[in-house]
Amino acid sequence: MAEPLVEIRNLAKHFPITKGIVRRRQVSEIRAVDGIDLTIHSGETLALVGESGCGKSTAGRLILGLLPPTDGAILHQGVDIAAMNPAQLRQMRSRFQMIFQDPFGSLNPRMTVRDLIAEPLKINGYGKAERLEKADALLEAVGLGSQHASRYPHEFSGGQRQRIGIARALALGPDLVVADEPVSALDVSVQAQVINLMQDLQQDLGLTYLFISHDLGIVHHIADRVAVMYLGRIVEVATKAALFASPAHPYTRALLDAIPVSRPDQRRPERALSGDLPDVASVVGGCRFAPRCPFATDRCRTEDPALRDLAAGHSVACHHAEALRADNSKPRI
Amino acid sequence: MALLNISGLTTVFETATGPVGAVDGASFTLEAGEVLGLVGESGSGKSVSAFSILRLINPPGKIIGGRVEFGGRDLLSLAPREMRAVRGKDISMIFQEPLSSLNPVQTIGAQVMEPLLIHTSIGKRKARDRALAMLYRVGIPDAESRFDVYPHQLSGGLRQRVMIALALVCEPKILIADEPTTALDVTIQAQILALLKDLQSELGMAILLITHDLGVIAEVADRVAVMYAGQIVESAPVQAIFDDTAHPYAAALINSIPDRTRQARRLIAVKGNIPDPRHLPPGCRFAPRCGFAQPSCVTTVQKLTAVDPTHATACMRVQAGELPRPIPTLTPELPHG
Repeated sequence: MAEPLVEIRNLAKHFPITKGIVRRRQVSEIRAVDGIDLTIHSGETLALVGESGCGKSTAGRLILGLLPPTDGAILHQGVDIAAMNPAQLRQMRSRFQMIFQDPFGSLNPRMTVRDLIAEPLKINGYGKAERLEKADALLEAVGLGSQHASRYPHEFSGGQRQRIGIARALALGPDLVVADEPVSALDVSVQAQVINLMQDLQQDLGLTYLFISHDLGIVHHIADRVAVMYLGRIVEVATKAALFASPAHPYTRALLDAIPVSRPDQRRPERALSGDLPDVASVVGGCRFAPRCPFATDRCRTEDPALRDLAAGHSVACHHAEALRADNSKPRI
Repeated sequence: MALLNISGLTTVFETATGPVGAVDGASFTLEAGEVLGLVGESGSGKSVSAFSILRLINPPGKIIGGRVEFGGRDLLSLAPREMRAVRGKDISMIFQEPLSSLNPVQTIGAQVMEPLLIHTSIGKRKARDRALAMLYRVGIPDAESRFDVYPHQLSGGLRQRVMIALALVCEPKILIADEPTTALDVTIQAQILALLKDLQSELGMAILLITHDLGVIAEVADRVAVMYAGQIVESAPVQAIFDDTAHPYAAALINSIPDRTRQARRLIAVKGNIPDPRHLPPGCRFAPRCGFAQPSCVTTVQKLTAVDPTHATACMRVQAGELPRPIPTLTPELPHG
């Protein structure tokens, strides 16, 4: 395995819940990210999956230094960005970039495409001629022509706008690109174009992706490794093959079972998970998944399981992972 | 005789530059007790079709043609008062976003009681009992104590269950479900789809399921109609849509979904974008994006025509036997295509 590009240690972000207007006081907190460890290797696509509210987007923003963490360390090639001051962080920023979910909300409507793509170059002190030349080359690289360069974002479709977002993210030649649900706002026929583009660019430029998504179908297509989050914790990390073939955490298993089949002849008897995601603020002791888990025991309700190694490259946070994995023998798709 | 028979439905939206067609001559039937999946991408006209069936199109939108036959009557020619007696009683609808569809200042119990009080002559006490039973039936835990809560106090999954209870409390013959699980997480989506299937077999209703997600279609539909740019381009039993695909657009849609059973490095993308409804191609609307199009496809208007008793396609090349079924998979586009 390649060297780690990013190492996250015990990373946490707690958002306070306050009451009162004049005398604000903190009554509780939301532990959006609550002590996660994660390694992103150079050149890989690591998918971070989970349902809404699990903290996957917050984790992505922490890794980019867009949010200050409550606790923990974020090492980019050994340098902790959590300990940096804003000026130092700005220096680092060109090395990690983000692709956003909403291609409509993330591009300034008053700037032309060329200016949008050249903006990060301008901020980082490139000369005008070089900026324009690079912007046109980037447009070309994402499958748009330089004839598009003087148009405004509203003149483009969702898929084309997402290409512009990608060109912008790549302008400074980053090592790490965090893509937060990059295709979930796009129509399915257009999603495939953008996914293909991201894979081509990764190969050409040697990019590392942290791919945040709730869509396990796309994750299965694009990821090398997968980390599953539930209520602020990472519950399982494994290679894609291991995770899809023999999930070791009951939540991972439920997520896989809940994906709609891709063809009607694969319909199977119902295995829907019961219950809702609990309120993150109400989490107390024990395993967070225990209230919904069909395998939960008394130990699960009192003892919080730590993420531990199950096999090489496969970690899980469940007391009963071994038993569950043995039970994976039944056929699954 | 189909339960619901839609023919030539045409809905336009008036704009400053003239009318823009959203649904253009859509014809399909819904049989008693079946799940018909109406699938298409954004802007394909699938939701406008559903809203047109219930005549929920407001200006600048306007239904300008077609018939919606239900129980021997054309719903499009009913008086507003008669139409109100159909909505919520014979034909109900649930929507994508339960939070914006439920009344925020009324308790969920009162909202589920309302259709009963409007459409039946049972008293308040009985209506409350039936509403409560329905809330339990759709899986609201401890519905008795939740009867008087407001929508914002519930999770997304529970809100969608409340909306289903509200739609089904009068035991309609048809439920129109417009992207009922799109706003929900995947584990909750599985719960709601299972619930809809259960209720359908229990109450014997027909469901018109509108979705962009072919996975949802593969999971629950009996028959499928595929829409593109306001027109139905293919309709068939669900298995035939996947195995015997008869329209290049339907094939492209199926192929662009990552399939976990086969690992390909590249997804098979459809080139280009959905056409602007103000500037539609004159012939086949998919022709500019289609890998099988010939010059005549671009200029010839094509009609949905049966190619076997249960299977219809609008592709004239398939109708003429020039293209095989299922439509073959094209080799992936050039990089960055």
